[in-house]
Amino acid sequence: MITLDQLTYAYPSGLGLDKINLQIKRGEFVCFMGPNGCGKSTLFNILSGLKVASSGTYAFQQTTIDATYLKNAQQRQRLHQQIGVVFQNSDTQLFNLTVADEVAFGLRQLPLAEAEIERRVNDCLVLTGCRQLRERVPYHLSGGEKKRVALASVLALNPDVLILDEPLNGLTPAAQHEILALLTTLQQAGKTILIASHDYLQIKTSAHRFVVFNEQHQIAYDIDRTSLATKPELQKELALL
Amino acid sequence: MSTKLPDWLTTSTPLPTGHQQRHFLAQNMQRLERLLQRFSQANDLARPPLKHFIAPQHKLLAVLGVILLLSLNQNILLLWLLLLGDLVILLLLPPIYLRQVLRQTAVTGAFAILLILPSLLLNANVALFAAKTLLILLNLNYYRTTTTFNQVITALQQLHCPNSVIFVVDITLIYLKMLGEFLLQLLQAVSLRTVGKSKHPYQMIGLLFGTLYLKTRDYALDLYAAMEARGFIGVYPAAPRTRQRDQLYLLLEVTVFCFLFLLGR
Repeated sequence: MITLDQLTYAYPSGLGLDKINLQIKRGEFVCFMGPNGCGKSTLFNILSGLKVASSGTYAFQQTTIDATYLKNAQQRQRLHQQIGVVFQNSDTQLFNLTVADEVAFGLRQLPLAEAEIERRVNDCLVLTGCRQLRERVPYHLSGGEKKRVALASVLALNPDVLILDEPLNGLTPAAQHEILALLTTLQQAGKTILIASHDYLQIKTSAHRFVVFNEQHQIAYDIDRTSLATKPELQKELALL
Repeated sequence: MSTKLPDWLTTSTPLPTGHQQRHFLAQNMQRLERLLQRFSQANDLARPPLKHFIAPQHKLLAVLGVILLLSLNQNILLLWLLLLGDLVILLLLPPIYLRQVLRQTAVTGAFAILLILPSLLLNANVALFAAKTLLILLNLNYYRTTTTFNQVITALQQLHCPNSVIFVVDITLIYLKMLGEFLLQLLQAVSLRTVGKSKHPYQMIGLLFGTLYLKTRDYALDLYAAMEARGFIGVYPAAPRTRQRDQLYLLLEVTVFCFLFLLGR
């Protein structure tokens, strides 16, 4: 579904990603780990079409995503519908006057009847445990609540791929468990889940594959859960990241 | 919280067809990104850090002195001497800085010339005025390119500017970048969830700026509270003592200024 070939991204201040080769299949639950500033967020920005790789190629469903592709508004919108992103800082993702409007924002641009939009908004709020927040102003919610509303607003567009940058930060252990359970259900329904996390112990039972970056912005390990179970040293290393 | 998925979430969602979104979001994001890069002028590996032989306050005084000389004098010889001095200083710059200064001067100069174009058409003698404007712009762009924001603050401290002025400049410089980044992320969030035609595109601008305003207010209150908690009472710490080299440079600066001023009378 997603293929990265020798993908490199350079900031004016230095490399963000260095020759990344990666293949992600539909329905995978991949956890991206690594020290701060190793390139996880940069990779997510490229996958979602917010940034364009400096060199190398990125293909989504056999289509190369480059500057030319993203210039076309329709193609860009299609990519944004297929790939949903929950930012690390949910504060910057919420800009509507009520939680219900926030979730309905993307839906109102689709050819859907108002009753269908209302149904989807309700479903998303129930799925993410935000039903009671429906009429609240997103700006005044707590950090954990904002995270869940951001997830609901992304989920409403029914993306094939869900990218979540540190979605468990600021959530209570119970809320973390609920969000991971929801992500597992989505993955079982065929969605591809890409998540960045520092909390290996929390994520280890949900993710199927772990991609670990090093400080040189390269992939140090790309290992599945079964193989990782036989490597206690690596598990210890991941738990300390 | 339920984990039973509704049916629509397991089937594909219809997308609007035949609509071309305006590029204003993408264009504004690119412009804002470039602007933010300018604000984070440090950490740019492509630009080697400059060795600052001159104290920031003397550099600021030199620029202000040149602007004063250019504004008050009509002497052509003075212009040539200042141009010569500027060219010598520019030649000492690494090529990447030199290119930036010249490019900025060309752009701002072209804009300034455009403004005085009507006078040119009326046959007025504006050549001297245009030359003086270009020289002022060259000096300002040189200062802007080779001076970091921290150095500007140090210069203001050394020149005994009132603390309230330094505070306002300091906070503005910090927040311009921070709020720029916040706005950029908001635009990215809107872009990522824009999958068709918005029914109320102008309402969006209001929502974005409303959010930005609330964030600005919260940032300002939080920052002031944090500064107060760390003992800030509105007074900036005393500026470091000037070195002997700086004093000699100041003497040279004053001498050259007086000489040029008398020459241009």
